[in-house]
Amino acid sequence: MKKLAFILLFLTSQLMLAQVEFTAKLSRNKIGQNENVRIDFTMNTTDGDNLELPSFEGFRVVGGPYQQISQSIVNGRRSSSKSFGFTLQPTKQGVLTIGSASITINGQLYQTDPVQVTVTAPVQRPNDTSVPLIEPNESIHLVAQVSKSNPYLNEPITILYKLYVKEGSGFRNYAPTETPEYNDFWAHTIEVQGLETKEEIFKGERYTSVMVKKVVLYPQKAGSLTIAPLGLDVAVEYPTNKRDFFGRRVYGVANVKVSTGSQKISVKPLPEKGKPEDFSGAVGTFDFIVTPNRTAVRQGETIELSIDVTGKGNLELFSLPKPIVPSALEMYDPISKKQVSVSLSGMSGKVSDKYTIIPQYQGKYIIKPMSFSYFDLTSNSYKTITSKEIMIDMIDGPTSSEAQNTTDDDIVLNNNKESHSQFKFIELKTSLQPIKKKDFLSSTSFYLWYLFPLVLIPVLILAMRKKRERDEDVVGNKIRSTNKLAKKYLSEAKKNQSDKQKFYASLEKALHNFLKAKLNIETSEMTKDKISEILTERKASPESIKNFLSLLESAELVRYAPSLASSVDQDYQKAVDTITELEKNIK
Amino acid sequence: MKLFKILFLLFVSLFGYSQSSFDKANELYKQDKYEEAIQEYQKILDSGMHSVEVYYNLGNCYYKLNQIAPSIYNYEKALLLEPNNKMVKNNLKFAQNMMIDEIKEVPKVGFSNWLGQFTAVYHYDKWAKIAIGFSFLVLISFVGYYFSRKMLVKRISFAMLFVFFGISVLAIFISIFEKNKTEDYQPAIVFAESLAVKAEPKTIANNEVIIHEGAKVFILDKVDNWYEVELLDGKTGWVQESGIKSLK
Repeated sequence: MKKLAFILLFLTSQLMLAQVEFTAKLSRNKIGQNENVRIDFTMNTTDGDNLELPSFEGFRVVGGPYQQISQSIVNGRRSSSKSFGFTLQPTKQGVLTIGSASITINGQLYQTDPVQVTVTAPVQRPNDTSVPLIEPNESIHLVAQVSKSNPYLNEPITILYKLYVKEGSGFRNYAPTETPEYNDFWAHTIEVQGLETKEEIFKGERYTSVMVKKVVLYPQKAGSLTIAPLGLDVAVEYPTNKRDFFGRRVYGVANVKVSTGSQKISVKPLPEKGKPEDFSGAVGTFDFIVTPNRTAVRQGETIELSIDVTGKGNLELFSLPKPIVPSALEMYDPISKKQVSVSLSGMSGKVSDKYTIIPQYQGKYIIKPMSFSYFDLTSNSYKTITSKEIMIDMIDGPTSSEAQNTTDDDIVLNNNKESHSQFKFIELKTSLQPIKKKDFLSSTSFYLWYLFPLVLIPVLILAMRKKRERDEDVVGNKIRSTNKLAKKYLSEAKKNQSDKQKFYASLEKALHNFLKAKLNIETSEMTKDKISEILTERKASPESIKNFLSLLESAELVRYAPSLASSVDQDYQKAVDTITELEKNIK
Repeated sequence: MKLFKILFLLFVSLFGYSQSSFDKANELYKQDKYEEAIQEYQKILDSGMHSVEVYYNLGNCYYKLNQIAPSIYNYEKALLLEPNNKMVKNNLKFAQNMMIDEIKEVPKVGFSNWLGQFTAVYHYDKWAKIAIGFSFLVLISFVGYYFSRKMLVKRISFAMLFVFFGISVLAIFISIFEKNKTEDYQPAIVFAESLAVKAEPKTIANNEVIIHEGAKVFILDKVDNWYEVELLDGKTGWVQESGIKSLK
């Protein structure tokens, strides 16, 4: 059945005696880059399938496909055609080739011949059939509104990217061609909700501004910084002088590239004068609070110290101060928390560090006041907030001295010890000593005491020697014994001291007895000269001889002339001495 | 005689005055009036008298007032008088807990350290007295040697004579050594909240380390208004004079 229909169709078409043609026709062969060209692919039949279009390389299809079917009777002959039309906008200059289109008619493939279009530089007045009433290039501008072009380091600025569309024009869509990276800035893009439009006067004309992008920037470097431009390729709808079938204005579409151009930001460094030592880069307005969750702990409990900074400013861009605690407190690395939201006015919220502190030993600990400095933009000066001193008191627990002395044995043995040692009370009794004490070591009394026994030794030696000398002094001993001897002889005389006569008698006797004993010579009958001679012979000293003889004389005198004066005592002593002397000298 | 009486009374009153200051201060401490107690204790020191107990009590007062440096300072002064006092050492640990710095004492080793520990057993005046004691023993040995008739006694005495003399001389050397050691030992306490220890005695020099109040250092040398100090862990450096207070 199908085959029959096919043959019929074929015959019919042959009867038509019409040549099937499929052609491509350009509206113009030469156009400027800013003009459009229309191409129509026409077949002289209405039955065609599988239309395949060329790639239109070098063009952008800005209109179409427009389908046109026409039938006409000419000279009794009926003809029909169908065309597919496209409006093309060249994307580049030069000789562009539009390739073949193909279609299947009655089972046969027909192709158009490729056609060429010469595209020249843009022309002043595009000889389009339509004339734009507003030049698309002039109807759209992209502007970057910088809130502040000379901020401080870390002072937030905003850039609002707005597309200004002249009243009467519009745009269909846009695509970015250049996206700035915001090097040297901390950047945060704020989502544009919906369509933010505003009527504004721009360059003296009425425009509608459309918010394209909102960015909050915190400059991180001082000096002259450049923000790369934002570029968009906008499909602009511009009114032309043409009107459509219904009388409505026809709008043309052109792609216009717009760019903001680079923005120069001059970032001021923060002043060095008055910069506090602990300044860590915070710029804005802040509150600084340090809170422990408890200050009195027992053994086994921990303390959580929260360090919070709240306010507006570059919250994500500075570090919080660290607490200084006594080394006896174990402090662990903090948990950081950031609750920051970004709006057109910048970052605001809270950043906090939470430290866990575990005291090990009983006693008091001081956490010194902490300070936080920031640069206040409202007053353009540095401000410092200082927290108060925090006192931690561990009520019970081991003392550090105990901890150092315990061994495993101690722990086992002392398991039932009641309490650990406490901070002891004051001493109630004292015995005061003078602060300035003279050293004993080099004092005179030291030397005296030390040398005393040592000096005593030679003294003793000397004393002993002297004693021995005395003992060995035979002569001396002799004298002493002779003295005794003499005294013995003279004892008789001594007894008779009261009686002169008797005294001298016994004195004389004693003298002679002495000589007898000594010299073994009886001298009582001798003459004095003889005695003298003998004594001299025997080496007695002349003086003692003289004394001896004078004594004898005295004795005689008394005997024979009792009335003469004489001294008993003197003579007695003289006798003693003389005898002693003689005893000593006589050999 | 009258002069003597006056002097005696003065001495007694001074002593008594100091004693009553001590009691008064103790009373104030019991009433938690720590600043006033400190003033009373200070009066005793100003009058030229001191004792372990005065310094210990002062340390307690400052601890109660949370003043780390003066507290530690007074405990250390007490320990200078009695190095083994248990109460002082106990409370000192509490005060040291409040210090920012960790106490890292590097134990000293070696012969000179062992020697120093031995000589430190007695105060150098006591060594001097020991020397004197042995000097007397020398005398006694001599007497034994010189006057004894028994040969054995003589021999022993003669030997002991030299032994005792040697010991007494040794005791004197130890005493001198100990005195020198004592004079070289110049501890001090850091009073500044934080004190930079620098490589050179100049403000612009690098910081070797930063120490905090309550830390104990030993003074080695002085140049202008800088002290060269040694820390407990053996490090040395220069600090500003105003930052520390000597214990002697």
